[in-house]
Amino acid sequence: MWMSVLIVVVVVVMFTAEAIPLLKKGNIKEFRVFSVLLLFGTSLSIALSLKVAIPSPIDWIEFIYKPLTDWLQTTLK
Amino acid sequence: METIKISVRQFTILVILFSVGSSMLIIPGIIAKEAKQDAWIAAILGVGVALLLVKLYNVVGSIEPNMTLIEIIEKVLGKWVGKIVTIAFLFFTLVTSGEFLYFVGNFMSTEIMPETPILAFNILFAIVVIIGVRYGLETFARSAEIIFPWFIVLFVLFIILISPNVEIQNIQPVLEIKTKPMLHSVLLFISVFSLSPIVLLMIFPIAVNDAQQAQKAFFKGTFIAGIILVIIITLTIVVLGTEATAHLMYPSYALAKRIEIGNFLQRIEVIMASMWIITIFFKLIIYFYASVVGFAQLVNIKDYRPLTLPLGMIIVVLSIIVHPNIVESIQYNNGSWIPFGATFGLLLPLVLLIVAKVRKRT
Amino acid sequence: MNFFEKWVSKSFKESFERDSEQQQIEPEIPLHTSLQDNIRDIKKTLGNSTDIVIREVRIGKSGDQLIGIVYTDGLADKSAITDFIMETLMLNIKGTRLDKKIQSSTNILQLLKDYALTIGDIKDVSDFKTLYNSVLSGETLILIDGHAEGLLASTRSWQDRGVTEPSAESVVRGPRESFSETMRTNTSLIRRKIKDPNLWLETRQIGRVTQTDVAIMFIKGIASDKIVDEVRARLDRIDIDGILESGYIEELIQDDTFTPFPTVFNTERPDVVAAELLEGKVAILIDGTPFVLVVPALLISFIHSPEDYYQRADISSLVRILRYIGAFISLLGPSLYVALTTFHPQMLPTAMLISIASQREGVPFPAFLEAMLMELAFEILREAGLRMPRTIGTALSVVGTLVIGQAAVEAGLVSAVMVIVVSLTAISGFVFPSYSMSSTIRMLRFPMIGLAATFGLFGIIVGLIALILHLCSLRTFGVPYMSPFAPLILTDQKDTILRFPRWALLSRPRLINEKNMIRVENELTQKLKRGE
Repeated sequence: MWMSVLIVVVVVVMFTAEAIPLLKKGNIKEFRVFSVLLLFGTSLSIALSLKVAIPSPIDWIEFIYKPLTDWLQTTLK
Repeated sequence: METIKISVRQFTILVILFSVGSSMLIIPGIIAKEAKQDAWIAAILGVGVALLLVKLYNVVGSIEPNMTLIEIIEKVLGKWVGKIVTIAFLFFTLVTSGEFLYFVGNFMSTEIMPETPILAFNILFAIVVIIGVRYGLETFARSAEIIFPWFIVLFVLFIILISPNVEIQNIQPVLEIKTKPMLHSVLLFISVFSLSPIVLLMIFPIAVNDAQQAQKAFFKGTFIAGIILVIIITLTIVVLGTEATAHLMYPSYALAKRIEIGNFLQRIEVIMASMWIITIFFKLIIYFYASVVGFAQLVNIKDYRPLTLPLGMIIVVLSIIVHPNIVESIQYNNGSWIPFGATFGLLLPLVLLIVAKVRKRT
Repeated sequence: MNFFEKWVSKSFKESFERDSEQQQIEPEIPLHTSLQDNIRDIKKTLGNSTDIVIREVRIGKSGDQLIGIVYTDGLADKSAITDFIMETLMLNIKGTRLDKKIQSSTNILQLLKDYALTIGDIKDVSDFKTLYNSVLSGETLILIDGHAEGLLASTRSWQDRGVTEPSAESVVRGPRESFSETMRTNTSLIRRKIKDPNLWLETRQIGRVTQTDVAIMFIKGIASDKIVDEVRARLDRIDIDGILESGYIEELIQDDTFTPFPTVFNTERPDVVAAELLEGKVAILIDGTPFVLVVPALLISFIHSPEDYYQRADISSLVRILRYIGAFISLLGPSLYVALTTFHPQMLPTAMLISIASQREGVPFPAFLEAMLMELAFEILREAGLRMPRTIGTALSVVGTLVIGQAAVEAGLVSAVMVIVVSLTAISGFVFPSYSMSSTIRMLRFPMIGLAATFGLFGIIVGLIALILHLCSLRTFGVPYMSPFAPLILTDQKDTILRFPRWALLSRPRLINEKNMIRVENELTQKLKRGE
């Protein structure tokens, strides 16, 4: 719980330090990309801190490449 | 993009540190398992293949010498296909960055400071990487130039200190290995050592001030890095023996534990640890730089710096979730990583090359 | 950075509002024709200040030409004024042909300048701004009734501390003179060392109220024009009310505000400035301070001592290596102690570990707190030693050594090893010839202790990487701060960690000089150029 609060505080600091100047300078596109990425990062971190099971991208990789991997393992054994 | 340029020497040093990178600690164990006492031969063969791959990267880099890999992808494959490939490539660099961060934290918390949580190491390391990337390529290339002599000094010191423990019969009999395990170990070596330099195409040849010399520097750097790895692999086998090397997670670190000179110089495995941290720092920073700059080019924004913080946050999260434990990470590295890495390290440049050739003809 | 700027602008908004009338820059008001009007204006502007002396005298055959003499008491040389201005005008020209001419001529100014004023430097003045500026810097003003112009005679002379031994940068072998507060003395000290017509000096006034003289000195043809132009541009950009020390200028022209590292070099030694000028750097002299700034300042210039060049090459190379080791200890001493005792005790030899452990037994604090406390105590002692009246100094050192050292150990508050570490670190901090760099390293020691206490050696390595990254990002007047290490320049390595023998120091630093790299063209350098 405290971890999530800490994350939010850090994110707010990041946002004010980085995004507000972008907005002021009129870099709308940068601001949007930054905000979306930050939102994504924040939700991931909070999910992590609340011990929600996040699927590992490695699992997807392993799933996609499974046939190839198996083939390699068997031929080289 | 900014018109920053690094010197050829800086590029060579970056290639060396990048290629030695994560490999230094884990590679001896991985290939000793397959090739036994002939691991060093596999490594030498692997370096040979790596040089061929560097040739490929050089050719791909010279398709458009004034573009980064992302721009080349978009130009050669067209806008839509290019974007999809770019996203896949960024996925590759980001996940791999996360994995390196996982290695750092895992190594520190299992081998050196068991009480500290892995997350703490990862966050600290990620912060320094973000600082480095924000300062820009020029700055971290210069830092590499300053740190590299220290790396070499530590490496030579390490070799000298470990030399009393060498038992040459450990690598005998030579060349007992069958073809298949040999092929497998060479493949493992390449997968760790020489599929990653595709990421270097984000800075090469666009950001190097002399493209012609840079091609040579790419070879030179890979070759020197290869020699360093061959030396480390040979040392682990002749000092620890095949069995121990194959069963340890970090054989070269265990190797350093054997150092004992007199009664006062002992347990200086920290030398090894610091060498490894230095190299993995540069490997990670280049991967992260590639991801950030690539992302900026994907969404078409000029300054990549605003992306460093959120993407840094994401790789920290990735570093925690990539592998549930070290066993799975070994499994992944010996299994899916090979085709996954090859997709980007071998298939992507080949496709780019062929499509570019075909397009040029028509 | 943005926060900082915003905070500055916010916190000053109030003062801006209170300052309802903006200070106006005075336009150049021309002098009046009437002497009385001029004198009235001068008196009014200077508020009848008592140190301003205004004399009205009559010259000419029948004494009907009124002239006024104005100078600042204490800044102008009184004997020069009496001997060469007053005496000449009032006595010596009486009865001469000049006397008659004054009567009839319409251009008395030119006449006086050409025939009468036996003083070296004479300038014309026709507006009040220059007038005040000159009179207040010690020049003597001569106004002539009926002319909207005046003469300024250079009579500057005031009490000066004189050239003394340098107090902050002492050497065993080498010149014993240091700069003083008067800029003219300082420029003469440098000129005495470099008698080259190409040694150029440009002066300008900075500071709207203080009107401080600031001079740029460089050797034309050796210094890179780009850097000289950059220095000029940055000095011209300064808009401030007053300059009291070179530190003001340093802060206003440095490349990066938020860095602990000094990017402008300062010294009080003329020989150092001369050596830097010969390397193609640019010196900035500021009136009123014995500290002269030199740019561009690389990291290594803060580690090199002038004595390195006066001693034999082999000795000074060894001393330099010693200094680098000192720098290392000064930065990392306590943090290594904390990291080793807290996280990596196995790295210490067993006997040593046992002795440390037995000493630390009964110490109530963890190593981190112990180190922080002792370092803090030392810093306070050091600062107090600097500020306190000199006569109490001995008392302080007794208190420092006995109470903080011995008594603290005996009372079991800190371990003896910690005291050794802290004192070793403190002493190592003094190996830097430059005070500004030693304060930087002292400051960086604390975050390093913090990193060591939380992450052990990993923290130290990561901290060092971050430090190197920061150092590499710095630039000083366009030159990378870490050069010639990064970017690595092999020819310049002759004078970095080692100092090569004098005959091998053939070239000037490459990044500072684009042209004119070779120090002297002689047979040897010609030979090397041809590649023999």
